[in-house]
Amino acid sequence: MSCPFSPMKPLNFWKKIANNVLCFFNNKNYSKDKTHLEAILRTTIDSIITINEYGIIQSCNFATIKMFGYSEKELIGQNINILQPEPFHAEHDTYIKNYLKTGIKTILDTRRETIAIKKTGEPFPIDLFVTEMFIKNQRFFLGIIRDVSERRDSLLAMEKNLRTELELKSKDDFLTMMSHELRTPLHSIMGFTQYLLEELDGPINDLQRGSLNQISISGQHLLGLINGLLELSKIQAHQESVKTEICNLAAILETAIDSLTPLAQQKNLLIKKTITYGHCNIKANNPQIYQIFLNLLSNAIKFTDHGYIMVCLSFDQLKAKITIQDTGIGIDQSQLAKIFIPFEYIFSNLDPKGTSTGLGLAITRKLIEIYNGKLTVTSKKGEGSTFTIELPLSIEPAFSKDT
Amino acid sequence: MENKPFILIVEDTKTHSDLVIKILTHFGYKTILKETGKDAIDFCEKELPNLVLLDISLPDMNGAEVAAIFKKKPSFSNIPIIAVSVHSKASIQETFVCQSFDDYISKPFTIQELMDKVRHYLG
Repeated sequence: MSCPFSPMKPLNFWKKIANNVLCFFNNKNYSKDKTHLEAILRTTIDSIITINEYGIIQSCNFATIKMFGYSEKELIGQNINILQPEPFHAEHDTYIKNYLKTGIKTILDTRRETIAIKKTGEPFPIDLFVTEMFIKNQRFFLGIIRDVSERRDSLLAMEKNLRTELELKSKDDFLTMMSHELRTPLHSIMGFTQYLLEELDGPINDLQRGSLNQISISGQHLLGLINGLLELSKIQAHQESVKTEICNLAAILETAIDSLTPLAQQKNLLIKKTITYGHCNIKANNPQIYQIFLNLLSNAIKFTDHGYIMVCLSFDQLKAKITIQDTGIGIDQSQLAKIFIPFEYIFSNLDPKGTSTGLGLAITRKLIEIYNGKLTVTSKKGEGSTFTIELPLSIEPAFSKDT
Repeated sequence: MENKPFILIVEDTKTHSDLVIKILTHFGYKTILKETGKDAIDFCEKELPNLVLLDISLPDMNGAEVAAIFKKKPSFSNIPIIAVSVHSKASIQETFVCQSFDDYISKPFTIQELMDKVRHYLG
């Protein structure tokens, strides 16, 4: 069975319709088949138009009226070129005359893509099949027209997607290359600095040590910036290719806390935690979730000199809520909105020790937003800050049992 | 007769190999530097190192390819190959550890990190 919409055999399909119509007009059992064939003409989604040798419209079906926006009355008796935009509009009469004169079929019996025009003046792409027929020795031309706007639109959309993908890819390639080119010399700067600091080439004095430490710290900072910028640009550009799995938020949070506990201990800070365990699962990229927690926890530790960090995780069926509260330096109310903007951190002097890249919170918020979550902050200068993460939980069942 | 363990460094970034050679020499290892995958493979036809530090992005070949060629030789089966790369640990772990590499180290590494790896394999 041939599918009428199969793109593989469009020409056959057109011919079949044309034959049906020709049969309709030529058939001796005209009245018997009339109802049947009229129904076909009425219901087909393709426009079917007949014109005479002078290009004057003789008949059209219901699809024609729908497609072009003219009534049947407006069309019958008109030149077919009212349905054609320039240059076809002006040249159509010539097409017919040339054929009648030479008998060479340039358009007849082939399917072609062209443009038609609606009553509103809006042009649209069509597939056109024209054939010739004779009724009582009089010559007519039969045109079957299919509106292919949808097909064109989907092709255009595909093309656009492809272009966007290519653009993203070249942007991504550029960033990867750039960061590699920037990091390679930086690695050497830092490596040799460390080599000297460890006195592998012989003893250094305290002044030299101080200078080398400065080089090392600045190098670390620059490396952090390069990595941060790369990451920030990559997060959205490349999210589709990031591997996701069912992640247990409590387990990841625990890991993040464990890895930062030594840092907190160095500063004599206690990390208190209230974690509700269970199926607080999210379909996500595990390292990204880990990074969200790690960024916020290390910030809390960085900006707190006395007191504690308090971490809470609770969840219901829909979402998990994680709060990270510190007793650190806090943020002035007027500055709160700025902390998520890249580099604003630094310009606004929010980081008195100058150790931040100014990108961490921007990255963290972007990561949370990827998973349709929310990151909010409340803070009081001198008393501490509370960062709250809300993440919608995955409704899919967990694949593995939680530990 | 020299008994110093002998490390083959395959690395095309001069400043990086300079540093690694400096460190390894300081700690008493003998090193040889090859800057392309092909040179490294040719070299190992004649002589076998005790350990290979193999950069994964070389000008002529991918480090994984070089490692695969090494590991095909029976004589190489006991020689550890450490992948060196600027990629994140996670991505190296995924791509290489289960293949021809015995271990990996990601740049930038500290002197301590490098020496820990080297001592682990060479004692």
